[in-house]
Amino acid sequence: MPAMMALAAAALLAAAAGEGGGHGGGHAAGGGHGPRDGLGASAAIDAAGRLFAVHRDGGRLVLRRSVDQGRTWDAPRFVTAAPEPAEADSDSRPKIALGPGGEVYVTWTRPLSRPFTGEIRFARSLDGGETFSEARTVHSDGQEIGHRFDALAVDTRGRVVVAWLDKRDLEAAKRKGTPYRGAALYLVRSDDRGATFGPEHKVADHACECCRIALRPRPDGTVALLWRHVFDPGIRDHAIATLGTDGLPGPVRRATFDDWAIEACPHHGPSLASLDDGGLQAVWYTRGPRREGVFTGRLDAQGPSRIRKVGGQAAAHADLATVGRRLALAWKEFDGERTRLGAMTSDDAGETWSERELASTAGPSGQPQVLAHGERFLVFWHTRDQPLLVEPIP
Amino acid sequence: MSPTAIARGALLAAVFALAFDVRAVELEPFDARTPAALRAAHAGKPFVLVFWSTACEPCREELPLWASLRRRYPGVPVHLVHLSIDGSDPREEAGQLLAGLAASGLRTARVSDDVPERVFHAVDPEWRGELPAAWFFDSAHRSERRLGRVDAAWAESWMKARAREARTGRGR
Repeated sequence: MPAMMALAAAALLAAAAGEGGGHGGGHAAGGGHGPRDGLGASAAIDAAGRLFAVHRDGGRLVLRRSVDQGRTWDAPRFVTAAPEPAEADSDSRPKIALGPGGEVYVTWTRPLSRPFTGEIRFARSLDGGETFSEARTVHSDGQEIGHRFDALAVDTRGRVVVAWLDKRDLEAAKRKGTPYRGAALYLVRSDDRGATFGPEHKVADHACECCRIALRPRPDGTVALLWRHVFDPGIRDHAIATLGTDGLPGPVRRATFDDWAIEACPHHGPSLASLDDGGLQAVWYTRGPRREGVFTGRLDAQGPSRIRKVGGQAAAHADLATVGRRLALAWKEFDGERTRLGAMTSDDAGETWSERELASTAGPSGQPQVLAHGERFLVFWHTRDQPLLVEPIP
Repeated sequence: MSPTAIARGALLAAVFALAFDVRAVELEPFDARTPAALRAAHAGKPFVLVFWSTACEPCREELPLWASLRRRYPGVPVHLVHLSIDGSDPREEAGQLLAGLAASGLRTARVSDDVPERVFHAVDPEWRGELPAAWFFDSAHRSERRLGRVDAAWAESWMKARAREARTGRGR
């Protein structure tokens, strides 16, 4: 039936050129369909060792608190007064961070009605999580386009930084008919404990549009950002920039040099931690010609050093934290039957490492997160069969 | 695409949508057992396994290539498997697109395991789910993996080689 094939091919071309083929009217994309809750979740730990976690429960974003290192958690408290969807899958998950005065800050990506669009939402609690302020959107751009993959941090002066991947520049380029790779990375900062946010600043054009962003507050009051970028002509290695104490982002520098030339959505962003001597340690995923897999290393201007491969052939979605010269890294890895939570630690700033397995699960799981408290490390891992699992790293 | 071409395409798509009920698009479930089942179903024959998502722009841009290859090399089945990041049914937002794919002769499926890593592992133990991803199986089921958008010229030459093997009966 060649005529029908031609018709089908034309329809396919037309559909593929659009948003994804089906403009499904007014129904919500992403999280708004039924009771399934994605397992994307985040946690934070305060000076007293209390844990605060945010996750989806019954379609709502909820806060949980634990005073016994995750053995038990209190009843869920709604982060928003009215239900609203929040992305909680793959590299997108709600975020939580704590202020020096006990403030609890939460961000999430709320999907909008058109597919793959969203806006960055923020709420704060000034009473330790008992009640939350009304949620607000942090960016002034109100187009129904992608503002997604929120990242949240509190700097050493208590200022709240929110970063995200933003499609406004892509949209502008489309209107002009010029090509634009990836999405732009924007941020805002609040100097008044989240009451108001300053103007948004673009950190970079051409970030990889589907990978999580890593933020790390530095001892000097700046905040480092690490993300997967799309370097011309299509190299998905990582880039780094610093948000100055003046609230302005500095220049974009290349962080990894794996030369991974690929036109793809890896859905696999990096993590970042501060080293005792002022340097930065990263963990990232690549399949460049030089190395394939998850790697950790110290970020130097010429490229990472002390590079160490993480886990086995399916290791993924690693996170890391540091305390002094001690580094701790965790990742998940499917072994054919179960998903295993692996961990490795170094007592000498990443020269040597020792590995161990912390847990495993048969069912679905989110991405692990490493938390540091005092001299100790905890791994937070939200799974269907063991929700809000917390494993200490011995 | 020019506005005229888009309008023409949209008209054709509308006519097309009337001819096919998009809700009836079959999406075969694809789980950790499916790769072995496909190899059995295509024993001694080449086929292509492609994973994609409506959420992935390079994936969407690549779809016309699969339709074109399928049309010109009908002896090589192409299985398009959708991987939904959030577990949603892609027919909700992309029913028309999926119907178009099916009508182009592409076999449409979706990952149906709630632990997607089980499927990744069954397809390729090194695959972490990056998209698009394709595995090209020759008649002996030796496979070549392509992560990211496939080079069209390479895919064309691979298909030509399979067509040659089919004609000459030499696939080994």
